Amino acid sequence: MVTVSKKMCLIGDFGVGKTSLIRRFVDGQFSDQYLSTVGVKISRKNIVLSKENMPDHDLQLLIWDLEGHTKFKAIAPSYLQGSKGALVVADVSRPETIDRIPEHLSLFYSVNPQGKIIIALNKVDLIEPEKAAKIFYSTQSLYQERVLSLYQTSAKTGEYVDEIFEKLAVSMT
Amino acid sequence: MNPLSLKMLQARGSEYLTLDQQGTIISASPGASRFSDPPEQLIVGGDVTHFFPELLGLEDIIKSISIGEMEDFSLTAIVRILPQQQLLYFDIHIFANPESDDEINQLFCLLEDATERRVLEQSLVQNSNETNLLVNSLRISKDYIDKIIASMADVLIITNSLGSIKTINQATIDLFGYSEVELVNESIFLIVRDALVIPGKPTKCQTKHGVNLIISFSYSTLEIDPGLPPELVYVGRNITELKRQQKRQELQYAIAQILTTTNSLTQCVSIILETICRHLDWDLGELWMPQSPDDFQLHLVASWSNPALSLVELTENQKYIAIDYNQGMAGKVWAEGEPDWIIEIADETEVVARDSLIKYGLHSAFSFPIIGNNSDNKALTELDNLAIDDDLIRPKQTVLGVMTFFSHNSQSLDLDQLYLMKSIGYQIGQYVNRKQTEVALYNQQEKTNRLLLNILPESIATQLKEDSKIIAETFDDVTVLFADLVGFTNLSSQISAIELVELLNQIFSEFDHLTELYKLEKIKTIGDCYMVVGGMPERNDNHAASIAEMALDMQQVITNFNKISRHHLSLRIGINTGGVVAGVIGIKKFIYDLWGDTVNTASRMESQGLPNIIQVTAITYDRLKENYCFSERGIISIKGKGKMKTYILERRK
Repeated sequence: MVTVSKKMCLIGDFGVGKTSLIRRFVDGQFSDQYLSTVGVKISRKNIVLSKENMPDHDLQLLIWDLEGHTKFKAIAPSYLQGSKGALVVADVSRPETIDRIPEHLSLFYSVNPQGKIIIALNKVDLIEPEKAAKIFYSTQSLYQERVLSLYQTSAKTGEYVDEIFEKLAVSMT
Repeated sequence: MNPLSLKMLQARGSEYLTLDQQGTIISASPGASRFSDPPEQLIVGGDVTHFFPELLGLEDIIKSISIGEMEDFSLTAIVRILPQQQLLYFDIHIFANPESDDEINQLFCLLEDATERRVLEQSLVQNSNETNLLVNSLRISKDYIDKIIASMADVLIITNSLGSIKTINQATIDLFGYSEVELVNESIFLIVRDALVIPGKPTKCQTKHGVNLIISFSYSTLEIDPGLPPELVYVGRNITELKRQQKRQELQYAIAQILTTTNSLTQCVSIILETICRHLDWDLGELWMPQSPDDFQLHLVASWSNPALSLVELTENQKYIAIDYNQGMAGKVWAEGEPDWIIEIADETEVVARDSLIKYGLHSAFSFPIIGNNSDNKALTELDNLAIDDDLIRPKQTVLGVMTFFSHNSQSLDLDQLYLMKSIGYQIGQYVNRKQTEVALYNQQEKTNRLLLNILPESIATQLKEDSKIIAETFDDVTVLFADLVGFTNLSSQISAIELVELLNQIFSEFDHLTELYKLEKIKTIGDCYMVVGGMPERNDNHAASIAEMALDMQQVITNFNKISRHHLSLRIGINTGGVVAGVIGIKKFIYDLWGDTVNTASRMESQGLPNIIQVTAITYDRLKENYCFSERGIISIKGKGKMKTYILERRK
């Protein structure tokens, strides 16, 4: 059986937890230590897709962990080439990372107009649930038209981590 | 690729692949497989995306380059994690193979090792990002602390060890009215008015605008630099209102106490003024009152001034001022019966003695009326009419006086204080009324007492006041005297009745003085007859002698009277000694009277005596014979007693 491979990217500001989300999803691990990513690292993960009206089939996800956006260095569009979907990640404890979500959306859509995006508001474990809920609803009201959906995630606890990857994978096929 | 080119590539750590336009690997340089994923698994003839997953999704780009639509495409800084966790960074450059002559170009895929550069970059980025995150979290925590400090309701002041202010919070600015610039680098004693700040103790402070505040401070030391003296962190709570309420309550207690322990307003007014001043922070207190109920001007009755400020001269001058009805603050309070407050005297035009008040540095003033019932000296009359006088049941209120207070500090309008003082004004007014009534009652009682003592002996009167039962008492040894004015009946036909009574009154008044002199008890007069007793109600042993002296003096009174008036009156006096029963009977117009044989015999001594003669019984004679000269009258017949030997008292021996 030929395994289908699909490319997806994680984009967002530096330090929002892109690498950690991938590590949680691919290896089931988490580390509090911050290690900045330079360039791009590709991880593979095979999943079984269940979709209505279709037999189950395997899918190899090629997950692109991109270097985060800093004020010195923007994300290179060439990395986004050929990506069917993206997870735009922000850190709920750093409002400026949420404020930059629209930039990331525009960048990705400019390269892949048909691409799918899920927004992950990461690190919800760091703030009060009430505050997280407030941030979630205000962000949702701003961007829900432009994306597949939004989730509050935590690479530390694993909250909604598998869901975002799987949901994005399903949407890409 | 020619060997030279290959050598040059490999010298730079680079390898290459050639691909067809479907992405099949046509050839590879010998070391190219170290870049594949997983490493060392490159198979010529295989799909390049199996070994370089980065190229997946780039099918369109590869095609574009191969047909010359696009020149090249690069992916930089691709990471491989080598078995020992070492990182390998490399760049991929894809371009048409310049050595191919075909229309559809073979692709040349250059794999360039960038590990050294990217590892360096990674550590730079790592540093930069970590710093960035740190700064961010510092900013957040600073914001958080700033917000806490700004939202603190309590005053926060940080000073250096010498008390110079370094940091303040918003509450400090709001409370004291100074801007941050005005306070920073100033001494904390710009706002603290006590010599010391004692933690937990109320500390006097003052705002920029001169309003006094009471702040409870706590403080702690803050070690900034181990080598330097620590900074002081003061946290202060504004307890002015709390203290104010406490003081008001204390004031009420104090006033109540003063009013219950003093007897007149004059006696307590100075203490009241001082107490109010001290409790409510006023420097000068005055009481203004009209001199009489008909006076339409207020005069200074009493004052108290803070000894710390020399205001004595001012109060001396105030004594010469008379305030008209409705004039100035005091006059208005007097007219309206409502308290008044002046925040700044200089801003008001209608203030009595305004210029001198300003000259003595006084800023604020307040005044309240002393309200009482309109009573003055009518209290007694009203009391008499208690049952029918509606005015007493619903007292007519009058402003009896006005208290005014002045302060050196500016005092903003304090409605609570105003209401409190209004009620204290009522309290003092009621006190004045009560005292007036008490005085009136006392006077009335004195009068009643004097009247009662006129008709009853004091001990009997006291006894009667305490218990109104019949009083009858036996006295074994008393001397009774009856004196009758001889010729008086004849006189009544010569002069008018009024003249007659006046005459009788004149003589009997003299007799009354004699009873006081000899401490005898006048019992009564019956027409022109005068009855007096000795030896009761207070028992004593020389009653017979006292009566004898009285009798002799009574004769002298008549002699003198005759000389002056040219009337020819004489006295017939009878005396007897023995036991009697004395008492008061009846409930109306009661008099103290005597009964018994001794009394009857004494009466007989008089009635059967002779003008200008003092006839005594043998019993009396026995008591007196040592000190007085007697002559024998002989045996006379006494009704109901038979024959008795009697004597005539002549004179002292």
